Amino acid sequence: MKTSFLCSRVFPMDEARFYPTKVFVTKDSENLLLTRKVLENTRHLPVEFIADSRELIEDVLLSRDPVGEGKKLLLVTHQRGEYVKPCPCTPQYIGCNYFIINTELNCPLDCSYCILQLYMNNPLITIHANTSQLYTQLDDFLKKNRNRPFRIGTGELGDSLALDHLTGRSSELISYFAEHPNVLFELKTKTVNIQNVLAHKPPGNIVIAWSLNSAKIAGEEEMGAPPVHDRVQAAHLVSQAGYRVGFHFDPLIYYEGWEDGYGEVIENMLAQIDRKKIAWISLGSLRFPPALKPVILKRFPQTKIIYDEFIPGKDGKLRYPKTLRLRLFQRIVKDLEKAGGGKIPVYLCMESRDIWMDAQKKAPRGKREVEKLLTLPLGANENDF
Amino acid sequence: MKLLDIPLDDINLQDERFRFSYFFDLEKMLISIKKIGLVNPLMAVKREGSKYVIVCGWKRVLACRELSLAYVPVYLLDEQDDRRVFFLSLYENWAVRNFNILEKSEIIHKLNGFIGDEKKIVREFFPLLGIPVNLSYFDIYLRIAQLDPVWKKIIFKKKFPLSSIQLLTDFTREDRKLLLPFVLSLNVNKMKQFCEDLFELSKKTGDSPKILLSAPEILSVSQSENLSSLQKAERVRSLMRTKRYPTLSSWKKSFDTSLKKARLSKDVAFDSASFFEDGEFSVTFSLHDKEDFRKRLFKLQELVADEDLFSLFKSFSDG
Ligand code: SF4
Repeated sequence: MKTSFLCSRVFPMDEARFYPTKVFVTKDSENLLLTRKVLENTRHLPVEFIADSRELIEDVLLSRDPVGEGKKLLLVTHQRGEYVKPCPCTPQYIGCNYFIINTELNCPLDCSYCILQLYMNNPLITIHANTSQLYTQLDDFLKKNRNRPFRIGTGELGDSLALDHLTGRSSELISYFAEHPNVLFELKTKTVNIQNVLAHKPPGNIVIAWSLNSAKIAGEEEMGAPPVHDRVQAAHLVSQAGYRVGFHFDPLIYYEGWEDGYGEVIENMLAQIDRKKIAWISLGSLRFPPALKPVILKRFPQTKIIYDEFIPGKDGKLRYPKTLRLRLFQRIVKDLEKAGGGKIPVYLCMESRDIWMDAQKKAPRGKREVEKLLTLPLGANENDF
Repeated sequence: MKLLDIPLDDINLQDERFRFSYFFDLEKMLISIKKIGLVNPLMAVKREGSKYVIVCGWKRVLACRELSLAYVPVYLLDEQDDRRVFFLSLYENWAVRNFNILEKSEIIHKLNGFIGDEKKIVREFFPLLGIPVNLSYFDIYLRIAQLDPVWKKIIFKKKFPLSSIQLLTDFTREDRKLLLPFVLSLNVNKMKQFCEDLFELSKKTGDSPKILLSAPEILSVSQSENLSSLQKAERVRSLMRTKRYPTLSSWKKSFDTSLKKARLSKDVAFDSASFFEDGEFSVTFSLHDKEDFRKRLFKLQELVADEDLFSLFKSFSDG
């Protein structure tokens, strides 16, 4: 109660929280518990019950900006596919053996570089309400993998907490994974929507992680996301409450003055957060499939981030040339060390072994080693490979 | 519908209200009409005054005019509603052939005039035309319809893909005029690359294409009297590439310079795989026989002693 009060005083929550202009519920999901919860939390909004979401989706896809239009509408429906999947880390690079849970699809924030702009089967903010299937699938999955530690998270096809005030999903998942100590469960967000998290007793295997960027990039490229300072403050509150936290400096973007920009965030982050509470920090440089370029150009005509020098990687995605990526990574690693965070496990997202070596003077031999590093018990992160 | 023979002069060729095809190659049609006459009559309606307006058969009527025929066979339609006449023309053509991008753009432009409801057009006609059902494509095709005839002709002749045409429509009409002399001699891919580089450089620097194209180094090429138009176009294209990708271009330049210094024989090619990304370099050479192979290997072995060359490799692979 105390932390919730503090939290609502620190962040203007209701202003920052997402509310759609209209809620659509497919008939097959009408009576599900989660649907009722969402409807209760959006009772001031118009609701329409529809037999099938296809027509609605087609209508949104017809518009000039399906991504932007989709972000205004909320669809509550069934997840027809698999809830749990391995993270699609590029095979040519060192991945991190991460699994994802697709509880929600799409995101009310609007980052210029967001890859979801390319996934055009359904542009609506979508909540999958058939929770019982989720837990059945999770039970099966965890039974098969009960003997090894691994990481699992929800922030792949959206932001883990952006809809949490509507769904309360974080509480449920935290309770569920508290019973599975071999799993490190990560909620990844750019928001400060932490009330449900704070209301919960923090189990040791839950990591609440924030995507951070420099203040300039966050302000110019991450529309609708709270300022970085607020995100760090939210992380501070969560870590104070006893949770482990993680940080993703991803995408690192090159611009004039990036050194100072990222340096300030790192300094602020380590000034506010006890480094022993930091489970990991990931670094990833800006990368995108070529097909995303025209989409960014159309939706964010003012951005300049796509006009740097990029080369196609082994996975076909465009990324900065190696020298530039290394410069970004090495500087961040150096800044972390300078600010006293030298022992925090750092991993590189979708990079080859030689880049790991050059950036950190050490490299894991593969996914399993990354997994081992990142699932080390709290405080034991002497990160030798 | 009546079948009539009408004087060619009674057809108003200025009236293109139902026309969506341009840039015909009349050669075969002329031979055919000369040999067997016009077997397939035109389709027309009578409008204001007593003039006929072509509904279907623009290629045929232009060929007949070329051959100075006095009369042409015409199916005269009674339909008074232009919109319905246009649909008739559209479906008549759609049933027998595929439309090219310029035709599709003209059809959408005309449908917009006849129907005016963009969503209806996108929903009903885009599947027919093989275009994604999305309003942004409606905008793209309308912009294509508004391109100058000179550009449309180039697009038609060089068979531009949609992505290249789209790129052109991102420039202003004035910028496109400036672009014309720089790209006319380039093939489609190079032209696309040049336009892309210019557009992105303009976005990155905030300088207009006009300013970028009047940089002294560009002007000295474009105003040179010793270069052919193809040479000028190629040089300007490469200058633009260097401006757009300064780092990668400078790497490429120093790599090429070092290779030159190593004085490799012409049929041995060193290449850096994936833009110096993974530190791998490949060597290719051709050979005729065993002896040839032995000689090549011997020469390559000599290269191992070339410290300059390998320090260069190292600098690229280390980043
Ligand atoms: S927060 Fe993540 S999912 Fe949401 S728009 Fe930004 S990049 Fe996309």
